[in-house]
Amino acid sequence: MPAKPSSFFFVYPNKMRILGIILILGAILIFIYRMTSFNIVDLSGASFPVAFGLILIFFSKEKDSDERTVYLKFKALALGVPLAAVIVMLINYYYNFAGYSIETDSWYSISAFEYLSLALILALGAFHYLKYKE
Amino acid sequence: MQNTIKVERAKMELTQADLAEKVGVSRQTINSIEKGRFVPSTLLALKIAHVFGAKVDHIFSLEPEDWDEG
Repeated sequence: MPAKPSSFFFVYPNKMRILGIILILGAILIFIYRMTSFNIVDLSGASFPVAFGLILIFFSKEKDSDERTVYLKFKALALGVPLAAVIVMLINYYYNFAGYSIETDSWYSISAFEYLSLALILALGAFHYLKYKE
Repeated sequence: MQNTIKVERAKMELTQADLAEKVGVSRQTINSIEKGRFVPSTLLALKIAHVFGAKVDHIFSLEPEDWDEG
């Protein structure tokens, strides 16, 4: 059997998108439940399933996937990843580092999963915009 | 890169959707290729040429500025 060309390569099958959506919805429901019941606002805890769900959504094959989809997804990632890095740096600098404590020598910083979630949300938005525009 | 897909489609009375179905891509992809916004892979270019019963270099041709791109 001939090898599939790399331009048709997707990491996950289409059905994994559903698992991604379930993960995100679950994370949102748990986040709201903890916030309303226990007054706990835990963005870091919610960001792991959200980031994982977004990975499954972004890198899964779509129903109308072809080589242009791969090209647009790469272009969207090229926009989303550095833009998220800039946003995270600005939030850390102007907001999080303001809480720096000299006694404990510690401050809150945005986690890797929060960064990944932001980068993939931006990339997904860019992908759908490019798909519509181009 | 220039292409004559629109002309060849008109000759064969094929819509973008018809051609897309024959080569296994979306209609939007054919539209992007026709307008020169997306350069297809060798495999897709060969498939498109095959549908029209022509050679690839009859459908796609290089422009001088294509040599300037890295």
